[in-house]
Amino acid sequence: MLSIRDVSLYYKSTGWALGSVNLSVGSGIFGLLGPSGAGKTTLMRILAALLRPTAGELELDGVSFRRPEAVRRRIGYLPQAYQLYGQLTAAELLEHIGAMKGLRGRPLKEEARRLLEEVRLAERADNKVQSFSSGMKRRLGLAQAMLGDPRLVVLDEPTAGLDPEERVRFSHWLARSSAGRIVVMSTQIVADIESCCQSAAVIKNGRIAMAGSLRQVAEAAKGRVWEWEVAERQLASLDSRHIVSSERTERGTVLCRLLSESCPGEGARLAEPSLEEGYLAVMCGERHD
Amino acid sequence: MIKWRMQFRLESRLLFGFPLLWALPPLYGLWFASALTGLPGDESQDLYVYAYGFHTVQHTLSLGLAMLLGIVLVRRDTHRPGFEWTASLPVSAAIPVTAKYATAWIYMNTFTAAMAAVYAALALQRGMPWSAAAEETAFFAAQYASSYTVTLALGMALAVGIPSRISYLIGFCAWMFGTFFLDQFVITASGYYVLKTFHLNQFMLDSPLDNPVWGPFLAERELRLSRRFVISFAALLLILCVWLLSRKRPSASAGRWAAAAAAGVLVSAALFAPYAMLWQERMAGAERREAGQPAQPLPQGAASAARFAVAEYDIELSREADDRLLARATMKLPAEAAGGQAKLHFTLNRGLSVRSLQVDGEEALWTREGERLTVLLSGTVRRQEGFMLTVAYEGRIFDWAQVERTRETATAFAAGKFVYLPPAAAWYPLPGPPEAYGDRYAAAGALETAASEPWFTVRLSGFPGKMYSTLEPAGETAASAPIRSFHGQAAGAYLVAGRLIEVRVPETDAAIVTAPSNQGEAERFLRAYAEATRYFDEWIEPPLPGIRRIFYFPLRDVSETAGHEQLLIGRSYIIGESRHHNLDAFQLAEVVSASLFGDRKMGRSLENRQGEPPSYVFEIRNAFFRLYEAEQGDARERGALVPRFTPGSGGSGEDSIAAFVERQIAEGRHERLKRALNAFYREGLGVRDSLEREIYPIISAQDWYRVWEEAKEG
Repeated sequence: MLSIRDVSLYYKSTGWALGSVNLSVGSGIFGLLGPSGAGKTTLMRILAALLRPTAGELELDGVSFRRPEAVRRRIGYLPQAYQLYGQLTAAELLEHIGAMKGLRGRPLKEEARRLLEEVRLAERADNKVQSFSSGMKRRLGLAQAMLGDPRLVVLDEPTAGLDPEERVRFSHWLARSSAGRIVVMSTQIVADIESCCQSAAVIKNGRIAMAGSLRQVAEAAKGRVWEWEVAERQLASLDSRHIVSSERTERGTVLCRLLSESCPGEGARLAEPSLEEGYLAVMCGERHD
Repeated sequence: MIKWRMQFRLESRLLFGFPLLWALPPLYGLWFASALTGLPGDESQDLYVYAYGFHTVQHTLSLGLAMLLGIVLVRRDTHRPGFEWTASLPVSAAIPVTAKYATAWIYMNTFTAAMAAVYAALALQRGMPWSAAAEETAFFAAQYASSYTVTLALGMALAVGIPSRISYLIGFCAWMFGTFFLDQFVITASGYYVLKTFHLNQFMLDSPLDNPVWGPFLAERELRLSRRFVISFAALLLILCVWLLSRKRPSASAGRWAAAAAAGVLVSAALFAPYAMLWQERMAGAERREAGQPAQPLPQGAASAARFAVAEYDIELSREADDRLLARATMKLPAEAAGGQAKLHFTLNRGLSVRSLQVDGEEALWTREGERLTVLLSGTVRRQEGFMLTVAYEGRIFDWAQVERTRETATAFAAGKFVYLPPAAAWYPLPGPPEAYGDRYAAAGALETAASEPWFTVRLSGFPGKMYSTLEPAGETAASAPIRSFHGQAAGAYLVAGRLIEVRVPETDAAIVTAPSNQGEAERFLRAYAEATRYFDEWIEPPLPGIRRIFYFPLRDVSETAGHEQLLIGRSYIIGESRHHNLDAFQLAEVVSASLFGDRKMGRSLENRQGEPPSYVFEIRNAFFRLYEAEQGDARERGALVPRFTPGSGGSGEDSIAAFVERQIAEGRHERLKRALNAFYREGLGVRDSLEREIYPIISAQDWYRVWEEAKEG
């Protein structure tokens, strides 16, 4: 269990980056949704024991983050942007990181080989990392985060740079790999959360605006999502008054879904909210409430 | 430990995976080799001196690389956001810091290895004894390693402490300041020698360490203390790196590293203290000596008059294990020494304390003030024909001095196997008060004009190394604590020991005492000397005075002079070595001239002597050399180096005899010339020093032509 209680972080230069974050995350994949600058990466860096919060408590299975050395032995981390030692081969890099995590000898080699297979890099195990594409480096990064069987895996926007096929494969692989561990994954892409997370939180301006299961997040928009068929020329005026979550053009008319507190017009009907609409409702709630 | 090993392996892969870095150490070795192999034939061939000169500049350049490497290794990943993930690994900051440092240290010391391999190979190729080659190579290597140790740590500390790219600029400034600027503008110009240990390049531009005989070995204690501090300071810098990096991320150990840094500061300070005290002692000693110098040295004439003749010295000198010297000097003084005065003044080194003083076996009254030893003579003694004075004294001699705020020197010392006791050090009582010797350290030749040439007998015991003296060896007892004896008539006596070899060749009995790195040059010089003296021996009838021993080593570091001395003392000849003051043709002419005529008067001080009858003595002396050239076909034309002027001629008859000799040589009258020259040689062609001026034979043109006519018949 990852327990985050009243965690805040203050930067002298920019002020509060996080304010009183409270989360409780159990085994499984937990998604952290939020726009750029919301504080996702800051929170992920705190979870990776790279930043000490100004206030608050964090615990991982009862181990306080006040003992960062003990916490680091239990975590795997993939940052949003990272570099790898290009002169090493993929196998050498994993063996190095595994050794840093305390793995030794044959188990280390076997785990490195297994992870390379899982991220489909086994055939390139002996190639230097500098010859890899950005997607391959991303997969290698994921593999290193999983090395050493960490209890907590912190993935900061892990699908950035992956093509659609790789993204799907990643989701499946992550779902398989998350058994028995806590995976916290931050992203701006709702589909990534939908495809593999059991629960999620929406972070906004350094605060957790909403947390719960995917259904609960989606239901934040319940009663505010409308399906409406309008003429193409009406669309521009809708954009300025409502949040249009999707639109589909058919034979001169547009079938759109939009968020509105009240019925936007004649012919509009209430619809079941999706996760994305729940997220939009949370993010834009103040403006439209 | 496995984490450290893996990190070290990673750092090594990253560093040694860069091909250009592989190429640099061998290129450095080649550069060093080319600097040592292309030595001009007419300059010193002392490998050590050239090597030291190379290290003062080129090693500084390699330190620039060390500084850059220290910064790059840190900035490569530690400060890069892209590598921040490495900080989430359960690894102490000490592991990457020490692994980076170890890798870079090993890499930089491949420069050391390249340098050492080249030096050792060239030294052995030039015939240097392997033990000497190993000693010198080890010294250079240790200095290199010491320099890299601290420079790398400084580079890393700057990079850790200054995360922005400006650390490169700061590193460049630190490199410049820590080498040339600190050397030239702080240490040397301001006399802050205690800061030498902070000098990144352990080879300073003007340092006693460039002396292969004593430099590094006499400074052993200084170097030992300095290296201990340098290592502790480098360790402190690394601890600071770890502490700063620990503070960058949450860490329970940051406090411990802060405490370790504080402890490191204390340890470094504790190790710096004895080094600082060493310099404090040296500076204080130098100040005491300077304060004790006579305010007004006597002018030349008065100084000469204030010195008095000593007929004999009998000196027993023993060294204790702690470098304390115990001495007993018995002097035989003629009646005129006292000159009817009740007080007789001597000069004795400030470091030596008088224990007792006897005149003719009776305790006598004496006083001591600074270097001045004053003996009160009774009326009875003053009326005697002569008397014996025995002085028992003891103490240590290590006379460090700063010369005109430009360099340091040790003008006299007896420390372990390293001894340099010139007469100027007054290691035995010099006749006359200190002011009679003026600034004697600044004029190594001053004692040449002593009032007399006493007979010396010196017995030495307790000195661990082989001792040399300008006196003649007179045997050594075979006991377990041998007593080495020297004797001879000379203006003064030098005692010398250090990393010296005695170079001999079968062709002559003369020997050269010099640094091991001069072996080849000394052998060549001795052969040329033997060839010349053998030629003269064959036809000059009276036996040549000859030179028994030539001392050739850098004197600049053991005197306050520029070090370019030549000194004839007894039958020993001293040549101050430097790059351009070496065993070349000019020195050979000087030594052969001294060997022929028993003086060191190539005529320099006799030019333009006014109001005296002309003497063709120097033209005749020159004729010996011209004849040698003509008969031996000496392409080096050493005769051209021997002046052929005519003192007192006022220019009128100048060079006339020399020109006459040239004609006779050209016409093949060699044998007749030899007979004429022999005739003058029998009468004496030497120049003698007296209190006022040099005395030389007055040989007129008529004298020459008369002898020339007499030499017509064989």
